[in-house]
Amino acid sequence: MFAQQMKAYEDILFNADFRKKFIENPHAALLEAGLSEEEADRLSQNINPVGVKWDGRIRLIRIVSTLTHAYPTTHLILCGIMGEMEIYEQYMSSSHYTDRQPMPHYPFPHPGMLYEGFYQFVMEKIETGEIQISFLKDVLEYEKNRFSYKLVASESGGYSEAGDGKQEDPTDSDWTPRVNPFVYVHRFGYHIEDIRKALTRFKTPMPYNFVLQFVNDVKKDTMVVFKVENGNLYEYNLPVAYEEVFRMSNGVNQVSDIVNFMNETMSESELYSFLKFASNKKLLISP
Amino acid sequence: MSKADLFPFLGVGFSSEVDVKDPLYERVEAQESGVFDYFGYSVEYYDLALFNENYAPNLNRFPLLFHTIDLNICGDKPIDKNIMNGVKELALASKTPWVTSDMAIWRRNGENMSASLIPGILTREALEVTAERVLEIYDALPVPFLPENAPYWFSFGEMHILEFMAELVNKTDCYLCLDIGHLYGYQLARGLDPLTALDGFPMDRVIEMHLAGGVIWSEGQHTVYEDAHFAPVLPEVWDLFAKVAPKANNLKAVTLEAEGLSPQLINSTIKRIKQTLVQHTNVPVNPAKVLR
Repeated sequence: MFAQQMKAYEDILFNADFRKKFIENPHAALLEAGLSEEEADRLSQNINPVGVKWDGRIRLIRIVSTLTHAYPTTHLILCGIMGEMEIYEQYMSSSHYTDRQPMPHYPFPHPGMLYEGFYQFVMEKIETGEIQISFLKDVLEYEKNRFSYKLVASESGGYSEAGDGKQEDPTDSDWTPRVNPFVYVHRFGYHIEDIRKALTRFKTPMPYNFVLQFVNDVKKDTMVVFKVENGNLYEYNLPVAYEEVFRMSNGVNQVSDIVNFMNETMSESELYSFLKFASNKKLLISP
Repeated sequence: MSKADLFPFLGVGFSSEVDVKDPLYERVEAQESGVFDYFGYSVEYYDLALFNENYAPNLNRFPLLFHTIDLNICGDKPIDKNIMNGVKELALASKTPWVTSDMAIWRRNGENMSASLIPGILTREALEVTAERVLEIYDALPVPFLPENAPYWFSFGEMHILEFMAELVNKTDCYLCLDIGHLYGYQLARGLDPLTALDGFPMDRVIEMHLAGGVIWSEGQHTVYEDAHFAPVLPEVWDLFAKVAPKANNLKAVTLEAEGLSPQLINSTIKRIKQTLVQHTNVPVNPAKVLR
């Protein structure tokens, strides 16, 4: 019985079609999933359809958040041509998404597969001409290498970041990763400004140069975000700045920096107001 | 002397990921020293090297408390022996007095699901499986294992999470970690009063509590609470904590989950936790470091 319950639960969580059926009629969906009448009665007791919908959305946001840790600039560029969530919804329904591939037999596949799958997904869009930005391929390659799950072993036997030595082969029997990519990227102190500097080495035109300017003496109502786009400087004040900040914030490090900044400059009630504002506008991507 | 007396008193601490080049606990100490009593850490089961690099140098400075994110307490597959051994090694290395973990499905088809934590099913059948897992973990680890209530956005099963945990205690004789924000979110998701099902819940089994920031999302008349460790603790959660903590007469530790919080806010929140404990409980908190 437990195995069938678990199967139904996983279908609710990971199968969008089944989740839709479940939200419309929990009892009927559970019967369809092979549960008995008695189990379907029990398990449809405490269901809140809106909670189930939110569950799906929060999981999507978390996966997007994980991905954007690894591909922040790619994400920014894609945001300029597609809806922010649309690209990820497309990815997660594509053949490149982790769940639709046979799982490899090496350990810790999920984040590596997630990152690799996203790379393949975007690359396919570039190669088929669906996305026509000449330098996106360079940015994507750069970020893949920068945040690759392929940690490399140095000659001394220690480990260092990818990109400065031989590539690691996870199928190699000697492969022993020190950290997995989710933890690695989570822990990595990353800033848009760093990647902007690094990208200049590619000599590619940058569609977005973002500068977050957190002036020490700035007060809440004068917080300013500067955005340099195509050589023009744009300045945003609140609340537009909040939208921009959260649209630009590509992971826990930036969000943390911003919230830390706000912690230091806002009262608690102001911070609550802001979080409410951001939540209602669905701008907040949590770690 | 009860078995609960064997758990050492830790006080109030915080947990976060740590960058070895810029450890957060150093910045918290620099902002104001002596406020936190211990540091909570999570390291994946295979990463003893990371523990040795980031956390081991602090073993003589403050106690470390281990929250594992690998043990598949609520999944339908057995717990992997390699994972269990890795967790055991980390517990030994850190000298943690106990280990906690959310009652969740941490692994699915070999994937680590920590990015999208999946809470367990709350049925009688799931209870039997979870109890077996908890006993298995209890036997394997060198220190007690405390299951924790996971975050829920919807509940799948006929049991209330507190009823489930109470039955788990009956079946396994385990002690518990109670996450106040997760509990608030669970009650909210089911449209219940925050204190529902606390009568009859074995509060004397609660050794550790978790507090964290959160965000409340709204859609129509329905609201959902989500943990947001980078945000301040919400007033609703403070209120629930003040009502629940006095019932936990064996409480030994309260952990602020603080990834992304500023040192200043970490210290002020820990002080407020201590102040709440001093005001509402007999927990022996050092009154010198409370928020005034």
